[in-house]
Amino acid sequence: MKHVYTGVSLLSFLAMAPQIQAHGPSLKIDKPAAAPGEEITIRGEGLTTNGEIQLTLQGTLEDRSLGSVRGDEHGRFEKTLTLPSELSPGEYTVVAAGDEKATVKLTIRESEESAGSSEPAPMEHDEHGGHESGEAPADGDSPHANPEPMMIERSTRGASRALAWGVTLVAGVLGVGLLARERGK
Amino acid sequence: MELSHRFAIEEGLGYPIPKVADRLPYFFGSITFFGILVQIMTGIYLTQFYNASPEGAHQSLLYIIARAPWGDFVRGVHRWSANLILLTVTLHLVWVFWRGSYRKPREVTWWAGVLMLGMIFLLYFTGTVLPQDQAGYEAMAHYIAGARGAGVFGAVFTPEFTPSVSVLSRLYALHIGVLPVIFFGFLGVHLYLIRFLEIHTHPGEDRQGSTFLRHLRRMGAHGFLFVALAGLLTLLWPAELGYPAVEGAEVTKPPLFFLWIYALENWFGTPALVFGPPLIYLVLFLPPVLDRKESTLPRDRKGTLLVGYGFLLLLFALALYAWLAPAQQHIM
Repeated sequence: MKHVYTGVSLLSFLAMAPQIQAHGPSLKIDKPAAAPGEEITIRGEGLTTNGEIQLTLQGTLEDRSLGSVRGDEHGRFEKTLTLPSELSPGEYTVVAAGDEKATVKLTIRESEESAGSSEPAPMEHDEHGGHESGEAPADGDSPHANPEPMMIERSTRGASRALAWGVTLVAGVLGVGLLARERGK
Repeated sequence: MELSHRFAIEEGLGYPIPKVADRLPYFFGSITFFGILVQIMTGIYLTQFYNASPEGAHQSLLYIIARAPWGDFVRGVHRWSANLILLTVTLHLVWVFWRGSYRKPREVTWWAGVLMLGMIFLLYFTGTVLPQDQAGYEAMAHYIAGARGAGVFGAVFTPEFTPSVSVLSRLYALHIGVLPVIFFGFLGVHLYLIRFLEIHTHPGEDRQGSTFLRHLRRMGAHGFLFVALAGLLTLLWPAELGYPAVEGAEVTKPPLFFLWIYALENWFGTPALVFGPPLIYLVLFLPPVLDRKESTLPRDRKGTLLVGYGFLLLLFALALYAWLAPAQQHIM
């Protein structure tokens, strides 16, 4: 009898599995890559039933709000919006947060406008999509190369910096203390 | 006490070692080892955020510095620790050479050390490529130029070897997987031989007087001091990141420990990339082969020491020249 219960439980679970999958939160964009200022359509489901869903574009250095949208009775929504025009190219994550949360990757490519105005890359991209061909450039050098370090607002500040000092001091005190103890022996 | 007994700490590690081994220069090797442990711990953390694709690498570095929790500090410690390791391993090499500890029967111990030194330099080099800022990009371009210049011997390292994965990703795999595994293989040989051939002593020096357990506690103390120094340097001079690379440009110079190669490149061009580092590296294998006198006392090995330290001075002079010389284009 015990085996019958186990079998029925397993079969029930298998039968329900696609339903569980179907009702989990999900998020999709109509295109994997877009340029700044371009329209994209975001579709989601299983996030919030008849409630507000916040859309955010998470980048490397900052997050941008893409506004909010209301989920229907099934928690579904669809929104077409225009991406901010001053986004830097790179990898981003679109986050939809309601009662549940879902994410989807979005690549922001260089806008045609800025791509057309910039100098052409002297080295061709190889088939890996990387810049590693190592071939000689057509014009010999590039006026934009900057060997200086970037100015970045670092995460080591405030409490985080104090904690970093704490770790450093503890390591130093432990080191000196252990050495002093050993020498005293 | 109980725990110590259960792990047989006293029985396994309490063996006698020479008293001289408690002096600071004998700790340069173990400090380097602690540095490697710091690199592994910080490296595992950084791996959670690093994107080894040519398109995403620089952005992921920006994320690590600006947003990842503790990312900036951990990266700084990783970078400063890498520099400190190069310093301590060089000091270790200089000290062992001074003592003549590469002599029979310790030739293999020396060679295992030289192989580890090679791994450390390769780990440092592959690490400089990863940010894909201007300096990292140029380092990778030099690597590719060197690989191409080496013909069939370098073919496996070129982008043409496979279209399925970028050179950056392959260098990353070397950095976090292949090189550390090889390094620890050589480290095993190195430590095994030190244990069973014992620490080298000069005539008149006590072959006992201390224990390895005592030495180990001091090693731990130096390890903590290493962490403190790396942390302090990070807080005072945070690890920098250059601007995203401009393809085809060559405007940076390599880090301090690679500057001597830059000097050779100034004079001999790309062939210096192919022949310079391997030739100079091979020289390090020679002391046990060429220096076979009976005595290991420095006063009896003046000629050897003069040649050895002259060689080091030459590398330093090359680095100084490269540092002062105006930036040149070598491969672009």
